[in-house]
Amino acid sequence: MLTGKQYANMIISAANNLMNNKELLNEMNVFPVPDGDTGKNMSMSISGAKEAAEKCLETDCDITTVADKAAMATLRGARGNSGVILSQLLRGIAKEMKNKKNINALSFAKCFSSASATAYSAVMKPTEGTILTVARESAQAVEKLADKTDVTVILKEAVKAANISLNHTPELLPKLKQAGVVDAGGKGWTLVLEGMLYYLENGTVVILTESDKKADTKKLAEVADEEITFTYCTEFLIDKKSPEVNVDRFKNTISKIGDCMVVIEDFDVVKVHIHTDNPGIVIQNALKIGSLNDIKIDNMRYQHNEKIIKNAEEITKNKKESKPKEPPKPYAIIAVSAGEGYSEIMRELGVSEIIEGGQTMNPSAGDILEAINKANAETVYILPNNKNIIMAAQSAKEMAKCEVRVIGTTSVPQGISAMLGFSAEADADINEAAMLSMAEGVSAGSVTYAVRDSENNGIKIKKDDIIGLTDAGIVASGKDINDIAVAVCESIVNEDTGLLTVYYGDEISEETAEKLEEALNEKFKDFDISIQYGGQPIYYYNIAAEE
Amino acid sequence: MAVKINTNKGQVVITNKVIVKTIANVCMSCYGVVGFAYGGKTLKKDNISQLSKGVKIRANGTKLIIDIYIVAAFGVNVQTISESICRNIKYEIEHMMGIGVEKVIVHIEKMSSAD
Repeated sequence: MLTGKQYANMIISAANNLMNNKELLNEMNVFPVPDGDTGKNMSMSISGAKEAAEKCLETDCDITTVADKAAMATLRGARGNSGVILSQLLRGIAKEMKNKKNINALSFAKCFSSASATAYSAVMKPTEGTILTVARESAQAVEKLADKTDVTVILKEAVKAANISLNHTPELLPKLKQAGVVDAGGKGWTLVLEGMLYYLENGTVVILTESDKKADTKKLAEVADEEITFTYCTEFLIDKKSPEVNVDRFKNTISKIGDCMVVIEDFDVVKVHIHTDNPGIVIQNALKIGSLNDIKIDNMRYQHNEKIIKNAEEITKNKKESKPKEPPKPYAIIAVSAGEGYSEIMRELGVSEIIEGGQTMNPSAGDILEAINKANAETVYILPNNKNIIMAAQSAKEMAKCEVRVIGTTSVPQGISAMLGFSAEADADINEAAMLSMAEGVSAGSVTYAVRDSENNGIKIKKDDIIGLTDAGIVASGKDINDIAVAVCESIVNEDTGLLTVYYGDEISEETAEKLEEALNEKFKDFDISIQYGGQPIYYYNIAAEE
Repeated sequence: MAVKINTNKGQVVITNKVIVKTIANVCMSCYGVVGFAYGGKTLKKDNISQLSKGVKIRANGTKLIIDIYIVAAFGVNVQTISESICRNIKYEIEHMMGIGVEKVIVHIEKMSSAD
């Protein structure tokens, strides 16, 4: 049985062991970037866990709480690659310990598998011969133990396996072999396990050696001196007058008089944090947005350094002189789309104005012109996203006073792809060409219902039948929406296709769309399949195949 | 567009496609990256020409500015993984190709779902 107290001590012992060997790890660090910081990163990452464990000892927490707190603290303090992986390993352990008051040998062994699985889940292509390998192989060794009698035995076996695995890392990773070292991160995890074992065997934690302690505090002090440029740490909340208030302008203004600025915007609240010498100006500007709450202003520098302040004042003075005006933006993109899902995707991609419209409700040239004027930009790009709207966009272009480029997209999926060709730095000609070529790389299809009886390509279609459309016309008809969608996909893919995106409309439930995703994943194993909410009316699905 | 390097024996031309794919390759083995994002879509299949859609490069003088759009794993410290992604890519590109990297901008577009 393992108690909370024991686990807390194990963490402390592990942390101390890691910190004692910090320099060793630093020297071994050659992968992925040989910058000699693995030891520092890992020990700083685990120091949070140590503090959390110490607190838990005072309050006598159960093991779940200890594991949770240690994992959370490491996650927050994670530094460097190895630190992040360490935090994942501890999180995996915590996950397995969840809801268990006491841990026996069997469940302790499972913790290692969980740790390894969690760590592996956070990377696409794991590199073997690193901390990941060491964690996995030690977990596998423990799993094999037939009689899981004692926690200490388990841990001992894990340490043994970890060391074997560690010595094998140069064989897996050529860079290590060239440098003649084992993996530093892997060594770190071995040290953690050894530190834990030391406590279980001896009943005391590994003692932290003095020299390292000093080095730590000295370094922290240096950093603290350097970082202060502005005196007042100013923090407050703004209750927005209305949800539409534009915070960007406020951000622009205050960013000029301070640093370390963080402005987080919510629906009705804006949280502001900035280091500045002029908290008054910051607050004055904030009042334009709404009423203030929880105002906190701290002087960050009691023993102030005259020279630094003087410099800061000069910088502020220089910057204050340039007040922002409202000149037209260099560019803006306007798109026509129907459906909230589509609008959201478009906005995320950088479309500034959206005109509601589509197949059955074409916006007029006047509507488009209005949007152009509202956008207030030097160059405006328009994505009509429908054959019938391109004309209206062209006539809006003739009436507009600024430079307008109409990208002839004929469907919303095409418009979305066109957005990906856009680059803020490029000029209008390049952008127009790039967006157009992106749009042309998309073959689109859709699934909808027939509005009347008809006959097409020899297929008889009754009113209200489900039909699948592509540029070539009707390609399938029937009763089941998902079957038709699969048929449409089949007819639009070709050998270059690699990505299929399905946008489902407002009449399709999420479950139905998920079923389609499964069917497509089954059928097109080599493609990335993406299902997104478009929220469009009339069309059950819009489907796009891209290279 | 391509990067041209003149040496005393002749010229080396590295096309953008190669650079982008190399970056994608480096990036996908970075810890915390579980996929790439491309216009709100997620790319996860091990197909490098697909995945490299999540990478954009542009030039500033003789140096590269790299934008990568990724899906991050849930439960990792995203600031830290971004820092290490920047460092890995900068290091690998500068050493593998001899092209200077001015900056790497990591866009975390999505997160994998909680487990």
